[in-house]
Amino acid sequence: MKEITELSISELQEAVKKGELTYSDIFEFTAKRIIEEEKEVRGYISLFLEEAREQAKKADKERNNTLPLAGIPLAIKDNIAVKDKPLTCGSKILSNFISPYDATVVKRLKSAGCLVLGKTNLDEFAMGSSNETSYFGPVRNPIDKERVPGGSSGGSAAVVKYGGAIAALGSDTGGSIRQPAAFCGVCGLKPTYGRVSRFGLVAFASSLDTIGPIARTVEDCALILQIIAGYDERDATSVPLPTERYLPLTGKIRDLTIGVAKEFFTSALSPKIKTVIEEAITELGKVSKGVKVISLPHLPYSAACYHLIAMAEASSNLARYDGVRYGYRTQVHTEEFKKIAQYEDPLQVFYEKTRGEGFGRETKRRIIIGTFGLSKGYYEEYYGLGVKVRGLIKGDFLSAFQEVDVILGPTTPTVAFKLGEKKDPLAMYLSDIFTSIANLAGLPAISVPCKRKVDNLPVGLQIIGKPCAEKEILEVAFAYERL
Amino acid sequence: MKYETVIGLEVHIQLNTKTKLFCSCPVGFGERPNTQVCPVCLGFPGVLPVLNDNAVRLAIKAALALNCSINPVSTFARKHYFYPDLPKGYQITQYDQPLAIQGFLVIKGSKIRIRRLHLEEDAGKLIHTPTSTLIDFNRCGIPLIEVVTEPDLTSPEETVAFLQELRNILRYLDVSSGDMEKGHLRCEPNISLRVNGTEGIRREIKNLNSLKNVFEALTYEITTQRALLEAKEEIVAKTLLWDEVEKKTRPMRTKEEAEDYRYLPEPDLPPLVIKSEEIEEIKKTIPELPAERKQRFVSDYHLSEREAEILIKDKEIANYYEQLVKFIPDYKLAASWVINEVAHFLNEEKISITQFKISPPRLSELLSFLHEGKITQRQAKDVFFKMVKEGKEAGGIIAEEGLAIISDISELEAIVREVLKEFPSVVESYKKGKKTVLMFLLGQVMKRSKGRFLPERIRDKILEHLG
Amino acid sequence: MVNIDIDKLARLARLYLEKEAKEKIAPSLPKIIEYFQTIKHLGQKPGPCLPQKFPCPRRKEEAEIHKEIRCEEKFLKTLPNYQDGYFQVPHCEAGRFTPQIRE
Repeated sequence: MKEITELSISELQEAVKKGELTYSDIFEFTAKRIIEEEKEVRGYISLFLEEAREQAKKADKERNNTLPLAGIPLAIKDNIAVKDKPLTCGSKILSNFISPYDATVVKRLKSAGCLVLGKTNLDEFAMGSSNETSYFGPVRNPIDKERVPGGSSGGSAAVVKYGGAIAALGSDTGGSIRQPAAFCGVCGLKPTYGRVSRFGLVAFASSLDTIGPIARTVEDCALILQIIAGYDERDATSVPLPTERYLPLTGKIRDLTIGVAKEFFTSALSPKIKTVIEEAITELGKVSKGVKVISLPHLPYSAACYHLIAMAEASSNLARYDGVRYGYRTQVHTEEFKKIAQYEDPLQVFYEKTRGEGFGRETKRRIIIGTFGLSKGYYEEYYGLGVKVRGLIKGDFLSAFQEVDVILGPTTPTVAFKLGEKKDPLAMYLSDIFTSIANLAGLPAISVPCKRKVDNLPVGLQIIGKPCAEKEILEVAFAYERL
Repeated sequence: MKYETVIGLEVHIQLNTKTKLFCSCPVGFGERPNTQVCPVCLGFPGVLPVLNDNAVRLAIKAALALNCSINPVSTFARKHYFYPDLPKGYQITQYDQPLAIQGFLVIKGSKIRIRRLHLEEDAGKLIHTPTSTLIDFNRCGIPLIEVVTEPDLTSPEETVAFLQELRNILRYLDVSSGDMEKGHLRCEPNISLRVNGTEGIRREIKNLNSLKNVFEALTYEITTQRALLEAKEEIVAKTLLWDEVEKKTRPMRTKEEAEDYRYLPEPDLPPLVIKSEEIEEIKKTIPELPAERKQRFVSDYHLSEREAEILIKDKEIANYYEQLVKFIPDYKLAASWVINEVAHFLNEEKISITQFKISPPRLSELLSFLHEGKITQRQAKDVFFKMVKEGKEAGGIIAEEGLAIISDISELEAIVREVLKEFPSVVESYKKGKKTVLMFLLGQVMKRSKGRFLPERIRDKILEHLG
Repeated sequence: MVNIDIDKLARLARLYLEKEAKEKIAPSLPKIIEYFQTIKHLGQKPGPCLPQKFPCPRRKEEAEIHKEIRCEEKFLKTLPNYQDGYFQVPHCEAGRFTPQIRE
């Protein structure tokens, strides 16, 4: 019998039905892995093991359970609301905050019977590409503990990798699901913008944020997507189109043309990764309609455009964290406060100290730049410019998808780097060059682990599709997985 | 020096919806603080706004009544500033592309242009104590429309008249109660003086919560600005607060740097699309507006401007009046009674006409007695009083008290003819010029009719027959 | 080089920066702004014709979509800043540093 870590969700359900496994077995295995790895990896911020244990036992009692995720332990990124559980966003300013409601995606997962094991660690407010900015400490890549797991959904990717959850939810604004998935050697899917409800996702950049699954197999991603996707009346940006049936996956991609954008293969891309990716594309080319070279001329500008828009929207979305209604608030009765407030309006000092103390450095940096980009006299040149360039990027894809059905390329320019390696914020921002383009265009994209590694570290193959074409990219990913 | 007053208005109006603009919290009144709130209107992490359809419809209705053009596509924007009554740190409003533009209202013959009308959400309520500030978010998120006029108003009187007309239109449309005391209508005028054709510095006045305050504040500001200009002193562009106790304006203690709102197109709300079919459909629901109705009352019911104006001021009273005159076509009499007796009664009892227990048909019965001269004005008032107190019918009370002479006019006819036939010589005397004999004839008719007719009626009837 | 007034921006964004934080953050700002300048020339290009987005959905009054998450007093009482029915902040003077009065 295979190891639990080698079974997909549907295989697990089969095994339970046959009596080979119980839900408690699955749970206990997961709990054991958590205890073994968490000390070093720090993938979780909060854990609800006792509750989950009880739920697993309950699921075992209800033998006729037909719910697709019955008894399956999942992890939820800590910027997605779970009722009566902490919602910290990896930040001091929400370190004491308990969410009063469930995000729509969580509600749907719970209805499908899953167990919520805990909330995973992330870069503060999902702003980062290495999971080093969390108030609760960095996450370490389970494959090589000196290296980062990627970010911002580093916790989710790490726990899925080491078996501390069967699958997890992450969020992707500029690559935050796909990049950690690539660094940790698991699958990560970013759906089309609006395909999955954002209600309950703490907003970072509202026009770019998406929620998506991170799992060990493509099929698991498809299963979770099926449950969480769909129109939500609580999200006005949610797409009012019916979802498709993503399962079963066949891997038959005979009538799909694969596109390769030359702009992905620049000097920024590590040569070893280039080789691995080219190999993967060639192999897939053999089972598809063919491979065609296309151009996405504005790809080199996408990271700058992305950060410009994202930081501006972030500065707006984070304005609500002021200590007035919830969260951390500064001490007002200290001598220090009184000293500063004697020449100022105490309320303004209250805001400044609360936010100054509650936010981490990278968050503050981005808020300042974002505020600059929206400020009087600079709006047109900065945020306004970002919106224009975004339109050009969308135009690139419109043309490209006239000729091809999916676009393949690397997920990241390098393999997982070491903790503390990228000290320059700009260097960190540039690692989003291949992923942020899909967010700007609102397109679905998936990262699957390549068959070959580089320096013993995983490499991610990225597949980008047309709007609402999750089925197609899943099929291509599934086809590759089965090669 | 020739001074011309230039006034523009920014008016915020609370819409009469059941729920808030972006969440389904109920819009209550006088509720305990923070009981009509949810994570959305409190700005909790992870929430999203969803637009209230009824608020859009009411806004369109108001815009149409103000003769505006409706933008087929309008967008929402975030206006950022930090204040405890603003949970998200930004207000969702409309900036670049508002719901409606370029409207107008005619006030006493002058066209006052309306620059724009747009939707936005209200903020919470603050209560200041010496040591802290308390916040109640029940009001936060309630739909508002903001109406901005061009600086076309030329006097405090005209400004008040504009506000009254606007308020009445809103009430007719059922879009808002427009009640300034309840804060459903908030007005911020800006005022400057044009000197010999040169535009002056505009100053804005806040904290005006009644029409009286608006009038007084604007009057005060005109005097103040004029004095400054005469003394050749500089008028600094400021925002002023009206102190209704001291009856003067004073500057708000703001820092000189103007707040930068960093407007951002709202990414959580796609563009609002309004199709022409919807506009046409809403147009049909617009009732006759106050100005139109007033004109109709003057022309159809032959009322004076003043009478018509008083009647149409309250939509329900105007409705009552129109019902009333269906039963009694004496327009003037009906108007007089609604304006005086009925209104006075409603005022005393502090009720509205919708709570008034005497329906138009019942009142019309009383008025027809009066109209036909069967009772006097004084008696009618007493009957009215009894009707409201005892709930009886007019006819019943009159009969009971033997107040009116409930007799057939034809009976009087017969008696008069009889008397005139009996005293031909007296008739001759009258015709020859001896007018005093009329009293004798009168007395005779009264004796025979046993006092059942009013002396005035008898006299009129006799004169009628005498030719 | 664009002049970035970090004090003014920190004030606008209500962020109190300790001297040390300012020293760490300030140097990175001009570099990042310069990085954004690399797309400046693209602003001159005409935009492509993009498909229409879905229009703003509208909620009917009867649809109580947030009813089940309404904040009960029980929950509000758990918030540290909530007392006797009200949220509290240190006293602010009405009108000071504020663009509008609403009370």
